[in-house]
Amino acid sequence: MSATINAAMNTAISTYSLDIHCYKKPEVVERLLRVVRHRGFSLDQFSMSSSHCGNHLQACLQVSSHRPVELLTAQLNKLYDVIEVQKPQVTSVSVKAGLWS
Amino acid sequence: MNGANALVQNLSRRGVRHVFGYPGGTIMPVYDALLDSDVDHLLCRHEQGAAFAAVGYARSSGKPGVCIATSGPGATNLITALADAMLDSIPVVAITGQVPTSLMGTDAFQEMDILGMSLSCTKHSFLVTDPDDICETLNKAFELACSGRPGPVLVDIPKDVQLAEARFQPPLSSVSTFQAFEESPKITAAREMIKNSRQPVAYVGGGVGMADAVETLREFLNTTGMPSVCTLKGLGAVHPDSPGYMGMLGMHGTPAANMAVQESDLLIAIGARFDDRVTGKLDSFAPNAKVIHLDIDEAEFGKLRRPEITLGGCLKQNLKSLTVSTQCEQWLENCQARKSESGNYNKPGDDIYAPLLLNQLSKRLPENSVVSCDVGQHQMWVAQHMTFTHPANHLSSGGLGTMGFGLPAAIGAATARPEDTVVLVSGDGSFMMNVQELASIKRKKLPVKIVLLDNQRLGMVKQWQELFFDKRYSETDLSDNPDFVTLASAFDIPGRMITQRQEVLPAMEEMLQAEGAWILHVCIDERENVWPLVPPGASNHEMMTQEPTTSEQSA
Repeated sequence: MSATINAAMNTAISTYSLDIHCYKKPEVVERLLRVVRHRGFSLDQFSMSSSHCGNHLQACLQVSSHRPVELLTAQLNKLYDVIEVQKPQVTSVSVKAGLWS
Repeated sequence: MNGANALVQNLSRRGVRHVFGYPGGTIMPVYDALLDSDVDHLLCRHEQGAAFAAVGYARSSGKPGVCIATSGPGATNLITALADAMLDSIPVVAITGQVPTSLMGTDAFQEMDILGMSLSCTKHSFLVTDPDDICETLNKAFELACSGRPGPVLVDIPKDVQLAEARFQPPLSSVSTFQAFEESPKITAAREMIKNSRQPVAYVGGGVGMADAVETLREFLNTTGMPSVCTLKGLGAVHPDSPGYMGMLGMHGTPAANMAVQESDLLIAIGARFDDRVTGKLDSFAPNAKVIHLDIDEAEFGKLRRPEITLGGCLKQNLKSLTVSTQCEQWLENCQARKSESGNYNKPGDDIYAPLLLNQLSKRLPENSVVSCDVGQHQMWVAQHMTFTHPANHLSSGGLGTMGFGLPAAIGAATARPEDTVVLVSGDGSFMMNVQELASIKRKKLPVKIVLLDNQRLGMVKQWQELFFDKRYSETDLSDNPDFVTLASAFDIPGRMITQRQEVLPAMEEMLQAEGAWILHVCIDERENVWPLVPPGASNHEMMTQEPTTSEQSA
């Protein structure tokens, strides 16, 4: 069996905590959340705060999926307004039916 | 200088000579500025046509394409072509007018949130609210469109910002980003893997052409001596006469290409992304192969197939560093033997056989001609039966598969490369989707040669209905098509219709000898299908290679 990502997917849904540092642009939150949805992750929690200088945002997302989180962080890192996606933390793993299962 | 003039001057100073568009209320200041500039504007007859012309311009020239539209419907009409450019990684800059800032968010006439609509179909998009930012934003837009993995970028500018006094900034001069190449452990490991492989295959995608790495790839293939296969967008990167070239792989790939990949022990994916039309059933794609994946976009690594080694960054440099001799002569011979078993054009009867016609056309085209095609059965026949010596000579909507792509893309190619022959191969379904662009051909007297393969059907959909939907032909009958030769003549485009095989070569000769645009309306049998075919959900070695119902009349 070749090592395809499909083969790696199973019904185990993992929850991840993502910290994203980005430029403060009016549509940047839309961009982040669109990528989360489109790449097969559901959003469980979201918070954000502006930096002291007012030009940057720090967004904290809790997302879950049966897909490897690297697929999401790779796409988030490509966004022009994203400065850094910190290494995601796994917060829980559960076995249940999900949106993409 | 107002914002619109600053924008047009910036375009001019960066060497943009051609733009494609359609004027309207909120983009009028830019059109006014264009009147006094040396930037040539080609008026298309629909904004989708303008954006596809920009795509065709970019694909055939390697330069970014530029399209312009007004707000609301003008901007929304660009969306399909931007999505097409996004999936095929084409550098396009789209400039749209927007309602004045005071009216934004009030549901004003022709107001639409195009920035919001563009999020999923552009690499990035900008809304310019300060006239002093226009030039800087344009500089960023071109840089983004052309750098890394190329793609479309949209710049939305409210009308009052276009009209306000603005600071002019020249384009950024390109700074060489050359970095000294360092031998890495991954390079060393990849080279060893190639040396030790017995059955390697190079799987070549569109990234090779985008990275201007065609010659480097050919050196790599010559030295390693390994067999190669191309994706639809990679066609032309490998020279068709290359001894190890097995043709296109995937759903309508050659048996030689698909079987080489299936039997390989090492797959070197070069600027390719394991698209589902390429892999078939993913779990059984190249099941025994280790994978080395080279791509500028590291988000592609492991997206669908987990590679043993990934090499991001400069494709040229990485390929050079992997150019080593191998020990795969026997494997190459086996692949070549399989390739020689396939392919003939001996179709009995007097009807015109489209694969043969396209093969004959390919042999008669001047060197370095551009072939633009639409989407459907004819698109696959072009990929299978025509040969290309560079990816920029084959324009085909790969990722999005957009019917209506071909005619405006050919217009863009004819604008970019006036010295080269440009041929559009279209189908009767696709052709009607942007048929209004015949007016653009007439307006600019573009010598586009149109080969219209007409089976009076939405052929590819009909083929799937025949094979997978119990021959239930739902809405694929186009037997009420217009008279295409008469239609073209309304745009001063001469041509003729042919129905018999003996008419093909004289008509083809007449078309190629004609000075201007010409249409060859080719009537073909609607029962002809595209073979081979990997059925949906099947593995690539499970190709259907024979038509099961050749003697039957379809409904």
